[in-house]
Amino acid sequence: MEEINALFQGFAVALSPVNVGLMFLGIVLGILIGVLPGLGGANGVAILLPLTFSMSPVSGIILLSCIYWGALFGGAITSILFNIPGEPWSVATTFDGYPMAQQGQAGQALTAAFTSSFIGALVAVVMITFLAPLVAKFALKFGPPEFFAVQLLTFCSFVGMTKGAPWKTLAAMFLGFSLAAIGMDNVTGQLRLTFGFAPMMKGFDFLIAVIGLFGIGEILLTMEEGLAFKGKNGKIDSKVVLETWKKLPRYWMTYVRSSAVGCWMGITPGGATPASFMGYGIAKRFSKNPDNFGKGEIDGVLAPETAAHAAGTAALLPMLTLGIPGSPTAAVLLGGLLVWGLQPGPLLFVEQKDFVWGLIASMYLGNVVGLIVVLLTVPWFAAILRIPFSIIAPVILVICAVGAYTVHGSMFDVYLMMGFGVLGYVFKKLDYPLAPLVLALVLGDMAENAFRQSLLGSGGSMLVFVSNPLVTSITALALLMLFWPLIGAALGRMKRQAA
Amino acid sequence: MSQPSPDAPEASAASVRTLEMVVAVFFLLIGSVVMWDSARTGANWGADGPQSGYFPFYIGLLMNVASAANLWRAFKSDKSTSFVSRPQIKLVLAVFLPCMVYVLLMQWLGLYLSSLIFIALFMQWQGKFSWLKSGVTSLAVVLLLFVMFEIWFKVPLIKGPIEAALGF
Repeated sequence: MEEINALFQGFAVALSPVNVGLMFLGIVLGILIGVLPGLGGANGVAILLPLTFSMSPVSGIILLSCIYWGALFGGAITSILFNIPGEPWSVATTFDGYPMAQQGQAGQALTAAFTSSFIGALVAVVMITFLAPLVAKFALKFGPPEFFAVQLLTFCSFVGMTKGAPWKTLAAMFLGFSLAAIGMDNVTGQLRLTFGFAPMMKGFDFLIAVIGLFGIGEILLTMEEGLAFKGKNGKIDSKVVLETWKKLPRYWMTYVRSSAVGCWMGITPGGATPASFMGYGIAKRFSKNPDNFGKGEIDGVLAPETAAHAAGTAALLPMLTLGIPGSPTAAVLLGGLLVWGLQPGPLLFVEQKDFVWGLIASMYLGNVVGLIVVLLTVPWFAAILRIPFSIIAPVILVICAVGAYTVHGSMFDVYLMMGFGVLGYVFKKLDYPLAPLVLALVLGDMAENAFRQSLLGSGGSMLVFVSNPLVTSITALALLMLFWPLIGAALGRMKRQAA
Repeated sequence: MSQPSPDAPEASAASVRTLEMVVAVFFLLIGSVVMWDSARTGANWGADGPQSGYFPFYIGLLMNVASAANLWRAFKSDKSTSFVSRPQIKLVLAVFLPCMVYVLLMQWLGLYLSSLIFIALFMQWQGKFSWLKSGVTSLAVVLLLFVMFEIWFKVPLIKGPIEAALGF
């Protein structure tokens, strides 16, 4: 009951006229970001972060998180109408969304996608409302060894959860840690990896990396495909919406399965993209007519959208309670917390009640606002894609440059952004995952501090990470995740031999 | 894009294998630099706990292990898959090189003027728009940026001689 009271206080905070206005602004900006190639949740939020420096923390996070919800909604528009996923997590939506649009059912597909996004997000927010305070309370008992073990679990999960080559995930992750180590060592005051070069002394800001890797890299990739938009019209009227809504309750099992997958993948840092693919795969496996998948089955739109939104939202749970973001966008929001002078972690729930519950309340409201706005404005946003790429590309590049410059007001960051852009382009083409790189860059210093403090406490013995049942089980889980590619392969071989 | 790429395989500018190996070597270099620098700052247990290089040293070491595995896997992979075709890399460079020039010009011309030139020239060159259309579009974008950053949000962007002459 305590949560319900706190939540209502949160609604009171979130419902101030300024915050509701910011919610609408954020959703509209977010949809725009989701529709445009080269701008996405993570780098879109990173570019707009400096604009919130002067706002109160609650208003700032409401604006930024609503941009995130908007981007999640917006990704579906381009997938269904143009067969171009505006965001990586909407790739799976193209499989059945675009065929539906081709069969003249664009309205149904869009309504189904938006409604499922909304439901997925709602399930995740309800989960956050009740689970987050418990996790935070539990985490208050954590000492440095437990925190390091949780960090270890986060990073090992990447190895266990990503489909790609585990060695590439590891290499990308360690690159992130190395970049995080650049600059002054907070404990000893020594300079690390700066080689006497002054701009390196303050270290790398991960926002620059996010803008370059996701923004510039994406534009280069898009350019390579020589974009030509050939889209369907995105007309939605209230009749189509109501008819589609009538059909949706039939698919309640899909919702249950996809929300569960999404919540799980969001908390463990799988993120929205693998969640959407898993949601799609599971729906196909359980479907009565799996052969229709890929030809315009409404189930194939519902499942990935529900899972992606549930994961995108659930990624905020570890960010709020442990200070460990579950996705690159959550990492950017975490960066925002630090800028506004808040210390992410379990104490946030004790010391910053208004902020936390205001944010959680704004998640409920933001998704309602998002659903309404997106249903009303689809045709306009679809029209944006008819603007030639030769206009959109330079404008987005300019926006990225502005975003990189405003982080510290330094030209060096803009050059760095270009470097990260090349890296992002090459990495994406070679299937090096970007999320572990970004998260390692964000969490590197925190992880190192927790590691050092643990070792200081134990006098240098690594046994501190197996010194009590709690830390031992987290460490064991982390190792299980780390070696999962090997274990999974061995299990598969055993199954095949048994069969 | 779902339609098959029209270019023949011989138009490939580089194979995936080559790029995989280049990237793995790049990682190995960084890993080695990290290890070397960590050894310099001290990767042992000092008088008051772990030294500055303690944690990064092992990060660099593990990065080298992972990259060596990647290099080995790339070495054994087949050469035929194309990383990027010649027409594709031309398109990519057509965006990247002007963008580099734009970023370098920013230092002297300021962000607003260089953005104006960049957007207008890019539209004219890649999109074959008329000078009038390109100019008006890019001017509109730059003015919007100016109003948003300098006036609404009061976030100063880098400025050059034009802004100085106008008194900003």
